[in-house]
Amino acid sequence: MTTHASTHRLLLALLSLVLPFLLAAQVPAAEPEAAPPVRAEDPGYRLAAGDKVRITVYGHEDLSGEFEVDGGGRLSLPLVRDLDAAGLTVPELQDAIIAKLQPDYLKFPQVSAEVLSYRPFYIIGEVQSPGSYPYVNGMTVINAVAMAGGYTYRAKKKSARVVRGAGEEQRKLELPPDATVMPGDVIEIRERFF
Amino acid sequence: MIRPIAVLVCLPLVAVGAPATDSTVHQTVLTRPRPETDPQGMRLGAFELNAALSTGYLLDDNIFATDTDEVDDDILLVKPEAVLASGWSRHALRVGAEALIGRYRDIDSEDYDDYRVFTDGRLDLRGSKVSGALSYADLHEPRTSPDDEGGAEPTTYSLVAADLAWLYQPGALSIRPDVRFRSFSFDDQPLAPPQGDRDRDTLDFGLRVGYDITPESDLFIEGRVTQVDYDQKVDDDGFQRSSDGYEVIGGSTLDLGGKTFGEVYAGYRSWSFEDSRFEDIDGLAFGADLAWNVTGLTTLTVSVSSTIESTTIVDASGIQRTAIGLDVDHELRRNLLLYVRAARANEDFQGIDRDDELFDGSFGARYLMNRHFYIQAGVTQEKRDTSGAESNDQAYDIHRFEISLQGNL
Repeated sequence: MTTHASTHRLLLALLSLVLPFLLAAQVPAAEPEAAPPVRAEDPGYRLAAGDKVRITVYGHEDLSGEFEVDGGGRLSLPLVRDLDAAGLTVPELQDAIIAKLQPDYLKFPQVSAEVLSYRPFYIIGEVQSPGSYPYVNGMTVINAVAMAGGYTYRAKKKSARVVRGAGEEQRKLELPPDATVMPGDVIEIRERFF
Repeated sequence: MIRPIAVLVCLPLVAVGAPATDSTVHQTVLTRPRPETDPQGMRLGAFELNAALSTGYLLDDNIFATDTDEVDDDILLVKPEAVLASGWSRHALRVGAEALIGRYRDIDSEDYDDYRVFTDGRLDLRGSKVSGALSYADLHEPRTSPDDEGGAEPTTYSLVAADLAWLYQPGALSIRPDVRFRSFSFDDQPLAPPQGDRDRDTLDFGLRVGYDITPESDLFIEGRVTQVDYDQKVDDDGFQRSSDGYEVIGGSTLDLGGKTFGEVYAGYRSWSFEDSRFEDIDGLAFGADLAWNVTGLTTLTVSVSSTIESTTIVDASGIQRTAIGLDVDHELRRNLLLYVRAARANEDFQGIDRDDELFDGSFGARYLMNRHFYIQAGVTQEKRDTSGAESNDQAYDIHRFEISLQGNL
């Protein structure tokens, strides 16, 4: 075989080695937005399935108690029965309960509500034990990683991708390790390549 | 006629599920355990059998390692191997065999069948360990060897190797005497001078004394005495090549936080020959073998060595070889490993006017499909430049491309 032919075959073999890496390169996705500074205990927190709330109707022990938002986003309360609670803030929930009780059952109901426990958060990707974990007030991304057993050796530690909310309000965020986590967040610790 | 295996066009980049272990202490990218893709072998009572079969395609653009009129060819490579290892809590025993079969598509006179059978083991005694190894191999000498006679077929030879060592560790002190035996027996080849004058035995005694300065690092002093006896007292060119020598080195095994570890040493060596026409070879002996886990995904390995090699080139007593190598291994994904290797060496032929510079470079990738299969592909350049009045036109520049598929038990 001639030197030129063997050089062409060697170049073709080199190309077959490099080409898959070029073809596998993906167009980078749009940069997710930075997280707004909202915490679960803030008044702006919106209820969703899995949250547990304490409802107190002043002077009416039989209308008070602890209730959990079901999978359909509803609270089942005495007299009120099914109340759509998903997406409501705590003040809005209080107002919704008052609206249901007044005027048919109580003249001037005094209702207070507080969140007892939040729905879990989820963590996936490069952590030792991916899964769902109970939310702790004020926790951060690094707290979430610690609960999941810590990073793996391939983890990208500088930021995490977080999916927050559902449906039309779902957002994809890029958060640093000290950013606050919200109940229901899906935290993805990605793998690094270098 | 052997048909070459078709070159794969695409290597899929698909990550495999769960994370592997995070421990990086004394581990490199290559040695890190990968539970998802490490072969598990087969349990046979108290032993474990690990077997593999690799088939590959190699394109070599200069199979005779010449400076002009290069000849290229495609080579089919088959490499079976099997090792039976004990799983005892005390003592250890391994028995194994491996082979490398090369079949050239056009120049079938270059075909070769290398194989090796071996056994090694360790006895755990109170306060000490005894280890030993024994092997027999039938191999071929590559055309890149300066001792290649350019025969119609590659020179083949057999090698018997035996090692015995005793390690005694009373506390922080360690004492390790050892003995190594090597016996080379060369076969004659068509259209080449007789090879029987290259047959030789090498006996090597060593003693290493070390002291642990930390649980992971120690300082050591080591002395070695080596004797090389040729079966033919005078070779076909009229030289007495039997020789002996000694080496005394001091060094340290290092462990810097588990991320950087290895061994460095330096000392003095002296070599003398039975033939009075050959001058003694004296000088500095040094070496290093260091691995640095730059990140958890990249390992840099540096190796430095200075050795004295035997040769049967006319008028040359030996080859003083100094080499430095750099390897970079990177784990791009859990199942995709990349490597780049580069090495430079200087071979100073003692007694003649010849100095060679060698360069070996390669890069490639290994894709771990699952526990039973992986694909590896790479490109290699091997180059020798010679200088001096007796350079003997042994320069060459070789480029190789290889792709292989390995199946594991």
